[in-house]
Amino acid sequence: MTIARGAAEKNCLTEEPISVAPRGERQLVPKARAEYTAFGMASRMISLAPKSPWLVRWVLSSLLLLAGLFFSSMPVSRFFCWAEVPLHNDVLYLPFPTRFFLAAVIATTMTAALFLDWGTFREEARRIVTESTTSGAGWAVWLLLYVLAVAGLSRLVDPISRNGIVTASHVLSATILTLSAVATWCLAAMPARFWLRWAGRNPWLFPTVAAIGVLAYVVGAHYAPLVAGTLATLTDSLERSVLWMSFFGLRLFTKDVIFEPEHNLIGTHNFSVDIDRPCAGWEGIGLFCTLFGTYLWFYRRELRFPHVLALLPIGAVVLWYLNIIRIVALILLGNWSASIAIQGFHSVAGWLFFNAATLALVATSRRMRAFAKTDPSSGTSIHSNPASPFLVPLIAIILTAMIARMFFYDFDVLYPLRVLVGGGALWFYWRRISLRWRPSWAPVVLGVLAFVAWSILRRGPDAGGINASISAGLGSLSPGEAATWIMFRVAGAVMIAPIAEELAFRGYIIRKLVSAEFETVVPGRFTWVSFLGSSILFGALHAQWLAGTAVGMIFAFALYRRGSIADAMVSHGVANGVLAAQVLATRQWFLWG
Amino acid sequence: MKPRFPKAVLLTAICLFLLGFAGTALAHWHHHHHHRAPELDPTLVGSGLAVLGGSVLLLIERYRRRR
Repeated sequence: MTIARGAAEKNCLTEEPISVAPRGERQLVPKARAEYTAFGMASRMISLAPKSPWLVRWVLSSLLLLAGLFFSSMPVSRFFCWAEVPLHNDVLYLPFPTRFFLAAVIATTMTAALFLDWGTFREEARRIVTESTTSGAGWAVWLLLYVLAVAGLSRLVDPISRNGIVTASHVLSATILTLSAVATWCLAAMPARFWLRWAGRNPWLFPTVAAIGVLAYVVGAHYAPLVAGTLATLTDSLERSVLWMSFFGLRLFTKDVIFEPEHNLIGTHNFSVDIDRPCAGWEGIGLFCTLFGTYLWFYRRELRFPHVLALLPIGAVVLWYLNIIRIVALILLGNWSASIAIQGFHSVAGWLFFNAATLALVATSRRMRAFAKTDPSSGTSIHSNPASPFLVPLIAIILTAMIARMFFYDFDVLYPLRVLVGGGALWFYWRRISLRWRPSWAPVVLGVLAFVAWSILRRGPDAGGINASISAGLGSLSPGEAATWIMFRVAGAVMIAPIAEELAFRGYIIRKLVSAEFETVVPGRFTWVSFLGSSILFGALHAQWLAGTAVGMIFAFALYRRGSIADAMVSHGVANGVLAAQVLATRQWFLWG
Repeated sequence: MKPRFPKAVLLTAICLFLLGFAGTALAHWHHHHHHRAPELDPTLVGSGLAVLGGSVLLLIERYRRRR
């Protein structure tokens, strides 16, 4: 059955699989009972694999480009050496790029080209794909020539970078080889007519991109050492300012202050800290700029430029102040309990402050007419927000865990609170989720498979340390309290966490990666981007990122099988249940770590 | 299609600046990570970014234009 896109306006979570393919994406919703089997699903997924010669061509080209850039950026003794260029009666010395610089310049140039004219690039790429198939071995020959050019460049540049002085012939050879590598790679990835059409539609693009590449080289070659030195001066002054402001802040609360700016030391007679360079707030400010900049880029059509750029320096200043508050609070807390201050508050408070500030600035960009193009009053409430049932339970669970970690960093005695908060959030949204599950063995089998994959791919951290802390923690409780804690731990692992995580990753993210209007996407709609993206993000949430990504793929497979998110939840619950049984049977508490 | 240059250049400049800044931050991060900084514990990083990402997504959904 095919329906129009607009007809699927309501939340499709509980609907039966419907064939909706408005933009040519392929769908992994089974049409016949035979496809319900794992073999049928595997065959179907393989059928989506790169049949297209274009895909093979792009994958190979991209891999070899990455290999070339990686190989080119292997560390060498120095950034650049001097090229000796003979003039009439003199010799001109020019900076000559080593491999490190070539890779950086090429990567900058390519990134700039895509950012500058992504729209035309995409249109022309689609046009090429629709009007022709990629020809036989022509592109492979270009790819081979690219590999030879990179190899030749590597052999030429590396030895001379050690000597320090090169001749004009070396400069000429390296230039020709660099241009050859770029040109042959371009022709390997796309036909010449693609590049000609792109250049024809935007005549300024390639000169501008070339200028950016040259600028990147000049700035890098001439100013990198200067910037590195200046950066150290800058971080030093930031460190000083944080130190002095923390001192003034601390004086507001106590007269018992120890302050030795020459040793970066601040505190009280009971508890003092050494404010090192990383503690000066660089990381938070840098991470904020990166994440907020990415947000500005993705939502640039809904925000007012350049007004909204003002939020970048505002955010940096806010984070700088919050870091000072964090340090003052750390010292005051340290007077009460040094271990909680160092191991709990020090680790978690930075993240909580960072999240609060970043979220407040994102909200500001949406709520103030000075920054938002959309009507701020048009926002839905948290109750009618379509994403709330999918995201709020998991956010509530993680936030509770983070706050609890501030006070109980070795053994999370407050784990039952996490279960109650998560369970409460799920209960609150349960009517809007309204899951229906038809019994089947397949999700159970997939759950066991996920447990096996997790066990194989898991890389153990400090097993002995975690075992000792959880054993000590349970030993400090009465038998009744310990049994209650274990009961909540199992309930959290088998029921609450699987439902909350599957709602977020297989209910929301996997559909959001198909369409911005995620609620119109039927569960089980397959695209490679959503399948891989949601699985990788699921892996990133877990400390065991490789094992997490693999089991995320298995849970996605459970979803695709019948287009039912309940199947993914059952698989997840079974995997966690088997793991819990292993933990309880063997007392290997670290497996819950 | 007419190239929209001023905005594109502006955005490119922002992106290149951010890439540079990200590089600096990541260099610090890397340095810190190798000294076993507690706030860079992988579980905590995953939790922190998940809470932030989820909350930002909630906000974005709240103000999303609907057809």
